[in-house]
Amino acid sequence: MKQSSKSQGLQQVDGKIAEPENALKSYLDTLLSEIDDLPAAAPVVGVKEPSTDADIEIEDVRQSVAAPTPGLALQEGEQERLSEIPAWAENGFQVLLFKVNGITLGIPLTSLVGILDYAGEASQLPGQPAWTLGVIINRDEKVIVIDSARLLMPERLTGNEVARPRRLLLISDGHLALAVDSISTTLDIEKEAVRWRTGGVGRPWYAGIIIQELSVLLNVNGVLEMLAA
Amino acid sequence: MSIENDDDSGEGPLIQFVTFILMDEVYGINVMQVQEVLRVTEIAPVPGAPSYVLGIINLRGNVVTVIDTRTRFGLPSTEVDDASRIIVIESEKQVVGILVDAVAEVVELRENEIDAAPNVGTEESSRYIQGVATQEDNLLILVDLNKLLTDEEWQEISMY
Repeated sequence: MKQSSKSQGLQQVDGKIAEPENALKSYLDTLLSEIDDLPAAAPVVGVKEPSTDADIEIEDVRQSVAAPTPGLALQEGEQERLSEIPAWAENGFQVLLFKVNGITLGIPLTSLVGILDYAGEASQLPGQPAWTLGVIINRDEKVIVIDSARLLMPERLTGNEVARPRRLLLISDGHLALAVDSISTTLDIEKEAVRWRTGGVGRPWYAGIIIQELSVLLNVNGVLEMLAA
Repeated sequence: MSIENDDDSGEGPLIQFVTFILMDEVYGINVMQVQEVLRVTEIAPVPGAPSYVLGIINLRGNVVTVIDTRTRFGLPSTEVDDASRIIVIESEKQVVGILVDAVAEVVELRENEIDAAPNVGTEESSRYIQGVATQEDNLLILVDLNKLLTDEEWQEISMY
């Protein structure tokens, strides 16, 4: 980014720029100059599909200021997060990516019992919570179908949703099913490829963010906790 | 922390601000809190996030939460265009990105040029206005990023 190109309509605020000294000028030039090269993203081991979201064009970098680098600060933060990693993730794990209301999420395969097609044929029971779509029978077992969008992201529902759930993700010994729009792929990922939750209240279903995919990783135990509350 | 230059003229130290645009108004944030300015690429939405959180970006392998500054300031939303930028800032609480209409330049102000903001709103809605400065009959609104969110809100978005 060139300073001149960003000053359009802003001449009113440039009158106070003092004649810079060399160091200051260098600093400001760096801040407002284009940088085309982007360092490689954090390694993700075994991701089966290439990510399309890692290439963010960096325009300005405060490199000349003697301050801790943001990358380093974040890495230190990640170290603190290591204590939040669940046991099943210690040696890497597999995740199934799926979509709900247009948003991609991931579920650890260790929490997944099975996948079913869904045509919306669940039986409605009276007096059920709003996040249930009904009950289906699978292998002689009753399965409660959960409206994942209403459970996980009610704030994003407008009433005009076009996509309908087409798949069911069986969890909790197969007695519950998350209704999802579609499933996409599985990933083999290492624990370092997830920004793990660091406490906080609410959203017990939130385990962390799969960094390369920018997708929320579900904590299925948290989902069950939420349903039981 | 500010970049402050001693000045022999006795007019006070110089403080530098990166200026950005929101709905044709010019805002300024302390340059020392600015880490990077990014073009807007993919911002992944996060289920369950507050309305002022647009989503998250992958910044060289790190997840950065992006705040919708217009929404936070009570301004109408607009479409992202070529001038839109994400300013990655480091507040006292954490590193976040703020989406702005455009980034302008860096200006220097002396402390005695910064006035208190006219108190026309509620204390709550204007708590993040650090002050204002007049620049050739135009107002530069200085933002205290540490007060952009409440302590509870900082804690909430730190989950991501």
